[in-house]
Amino acid sequence: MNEKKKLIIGLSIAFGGAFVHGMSWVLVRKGTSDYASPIAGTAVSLFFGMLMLTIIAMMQPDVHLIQKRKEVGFLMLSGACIGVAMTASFYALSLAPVVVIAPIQSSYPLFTALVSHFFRLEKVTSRLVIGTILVVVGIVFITIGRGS
Amino acid sequence: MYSILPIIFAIAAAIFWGVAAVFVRLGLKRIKPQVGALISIVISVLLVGLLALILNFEELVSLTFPALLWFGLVGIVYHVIGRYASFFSIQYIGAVKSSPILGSAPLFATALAIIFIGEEVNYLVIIGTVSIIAGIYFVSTSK
Repeated sequence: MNEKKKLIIGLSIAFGGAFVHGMSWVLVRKGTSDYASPIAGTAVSLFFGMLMLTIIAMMQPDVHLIQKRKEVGFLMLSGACIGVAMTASFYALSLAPVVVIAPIQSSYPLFTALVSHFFRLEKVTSRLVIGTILVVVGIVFITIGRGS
Repeated sequence: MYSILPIIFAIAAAIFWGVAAVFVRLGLKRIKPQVGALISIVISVLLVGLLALILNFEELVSLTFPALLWFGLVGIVYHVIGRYASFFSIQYIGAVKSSPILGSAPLFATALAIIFIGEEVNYLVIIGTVSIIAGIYFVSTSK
């Protein structure tokens, strides 16, 4: 595949991913106001996600997981964090508009970078500091501007 | 104006998503992404499912078909389509090019929310959104 074609496909998929992600927030907002409580909605959406991921994982199974206990442990911790994150997200979207909640939730790469620094996986750079300041300023603006 | 509680929930969600991403990175060193995603989500289902059963048992067992369909769609859209879109876009064009685009999801969310569910936005929220997106661009390209 030539580079130009690869770029077009990659950009299309990236924009598609951003669109889909944005749409999921709107679906949650509508769902938690019309169909179910945030905790019930979270449980159902995770369950259906799990069903689909099971089908996909069965196509490319991984063996010898017992020998990768440490990695399995980390993934289990990630699962616990995702469960908490999704529950908090659904509650947030049930209480406030998407236009307020979505930008704040999308700041998670900042916390990934900060925690990565704590685990010594990444260094603090000037771009990280600038990015942190911009995110914090953004959250402050949104908090002040909510509902006004 | 509504309370600050949803803002706190949103920040908490961002923190836990951020921490989860680090654990995923550590976990996928020797495990395939498809299997890793499954291990992770099984724990999420067990944790949240148990909480939902304890707190909202009656609601959970009496969910209507439209509710199941709606949130089932959310689950598939977010956990499968969204996840693999990120994965494949990084594979095709790399994280440096794809991260800022993927990070523009709030703009799509805002536009879709205005179009489909009639939300309104003021200049403070717009400035805040742009600031956050710019901030995430700097963070994503800080390596």
